[in-house]
Amino acid sequence: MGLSTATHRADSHLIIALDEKFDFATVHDFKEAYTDIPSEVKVIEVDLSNTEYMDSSALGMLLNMQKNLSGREIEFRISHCRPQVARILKISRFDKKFIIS
Amino acid sequence: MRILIVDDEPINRLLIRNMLEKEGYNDCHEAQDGAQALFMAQQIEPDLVLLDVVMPGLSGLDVAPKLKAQSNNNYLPIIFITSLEDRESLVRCLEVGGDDFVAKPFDRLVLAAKIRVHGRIRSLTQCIEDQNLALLQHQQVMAQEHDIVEHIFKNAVRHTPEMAARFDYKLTPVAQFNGDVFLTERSPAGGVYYLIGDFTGHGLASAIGVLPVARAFHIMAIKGLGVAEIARTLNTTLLQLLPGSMFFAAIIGEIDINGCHHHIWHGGMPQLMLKRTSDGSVETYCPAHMALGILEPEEFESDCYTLNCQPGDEVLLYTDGLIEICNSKGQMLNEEGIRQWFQKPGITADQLYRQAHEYMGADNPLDDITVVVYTCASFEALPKIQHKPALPLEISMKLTGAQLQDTGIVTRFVDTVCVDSAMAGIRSDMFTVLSELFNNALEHGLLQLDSQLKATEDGFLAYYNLRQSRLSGLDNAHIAIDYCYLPQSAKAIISVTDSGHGFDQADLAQRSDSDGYGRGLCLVKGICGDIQFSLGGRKATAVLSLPWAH
Repeated sequence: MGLSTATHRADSHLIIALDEKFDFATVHDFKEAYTDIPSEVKVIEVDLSNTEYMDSSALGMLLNMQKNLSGREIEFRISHCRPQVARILKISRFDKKFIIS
Repeated sequence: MRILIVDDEPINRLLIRNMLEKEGYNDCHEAQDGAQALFMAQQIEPDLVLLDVVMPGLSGLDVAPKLKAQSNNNYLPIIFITSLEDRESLVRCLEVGGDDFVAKPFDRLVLAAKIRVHGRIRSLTQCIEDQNLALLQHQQVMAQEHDIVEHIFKNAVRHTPEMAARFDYKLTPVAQFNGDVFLTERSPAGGVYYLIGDFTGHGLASAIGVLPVARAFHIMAIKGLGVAEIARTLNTTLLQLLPGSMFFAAIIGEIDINGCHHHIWHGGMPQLMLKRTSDGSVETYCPAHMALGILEPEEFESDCYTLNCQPGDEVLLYTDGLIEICNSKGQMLNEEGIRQWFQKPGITADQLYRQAHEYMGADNPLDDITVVVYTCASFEALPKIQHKPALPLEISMKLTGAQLQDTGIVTRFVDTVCVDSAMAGIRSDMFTVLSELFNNALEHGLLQLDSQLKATEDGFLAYYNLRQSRLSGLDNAHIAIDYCYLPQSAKAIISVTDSGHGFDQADLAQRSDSDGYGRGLCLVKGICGDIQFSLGGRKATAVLSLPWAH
């Protein structure tokens, strides 16, 4: 339960990997994952390869992250979505704000 | 040692018998001519025959081959007793099957020595004979066992005709059993799972691991689990099963229904290659992880990568048996060599294998070789998963008090519904829909939280903190979840009713894309098409269409 974070490529690439369920139970951990990150971070990638369950609170958290860091030049990616999760992001038109792969 | 003395002269027989008895051979029998010798040999089964050459009727030269033939495969030493002096006759004795000769008059010591030597050869022969028989029996048992095992492997690793038609594959084990494995299974979402893997070594010892892997893979695929979870489970299973020196390199992939989007876990296998149909370029993808069955569960990494392909793009999978082949100069083919071959348009798995054989020349491969080529194309046309639950089903749950605080309620309800593997395809959708309806009922209907609080990031956290504190003080409230499966219309109806104030539908108006709240019910609408509210907003109902409805 929860998530893990890892920073790659000379600290410029932060990966936040969620586990099976991405919902409101993750809210504190998720916020912590992007709070006080070093200024070198240029890319934040939310890795959903393990995520099977997601609801609208997860969407809210993703948008909050983006808003929180809007003053900085950071590219936001959502990666490795399984087809069902990709569909939810598509229904919610998240492709407008995130690079989804 | 039982000795048969054959001589027409009684005096000679007596003489020999006396000599033998002095040497301790007390089990001696006498025959006076060839015919009697043949008859007696069958009765008494002698260990050695002393045979006179010149006798009335059948001569010793006639009797010897017959005695040999009678004794089957056992070595029956025949020593000719001869007064013949000419060398030709002596040679003749040996040619007809005799093993040695003693000349008259007899020398006791020489006769005894010769008997001892041939006795030794006979017991050695007997020993080899016994061992051969044991080996033969062993071999038969092995062959039977292998047949059974082969049968089990064939059943464990089989592809449906649809899958066999969509994957071009060639598996060539170096022994009867393959330490390589290639598996496919339809996913409940309409796509396909595949697994290509390679156990350390080859032959039966490495093939044995295929059985648990194939079984677990098929079960997890039918349930629609993610490749990361499949990899994690296989790792744990193999860690328990395999000896320390053995592991399982594998690529596990899930392809979506369009046939073009691959989600891949790649551990310990050679580079995966992707040939773009647009310009013929070949991309290579390196393994991200160690093989399965090495790392402890807490060390295990389940990161995956994705391939976004176009129809017609080709994906090449192969085991290291292919890259490790060497040509006559001892140069290994390597991944670069394969990349060059794969660049050729339309090359098939079989052609790649043949090319590998040409490269090796006269040598044979040392390891199992597996080659798979998948050409991206939609799976829409494939028949949908066959199994459809035929009986209607209703599940209801009424939650009160502390039960409402359980954060795992929604997943548990979904798990209950999806126990039937046919429902696996709607697992994710079902979670999202139920989660939205349940949280609406709880947060708005019972706890009367205001979504607008979620407009800011701090508010978002405050909202969930408030949720928690109000939830713990909640009294005399309940939420009912009702699930109803209608087989005829292939629909699942989900409704959630709260005992509180319900939900204000006016709030459902479209929000801007950047609002961090209020998108939940839009999401349900997106998945289900519509939501019905009744009982003054206390009851919300959504209908999920099941995959086989279309």
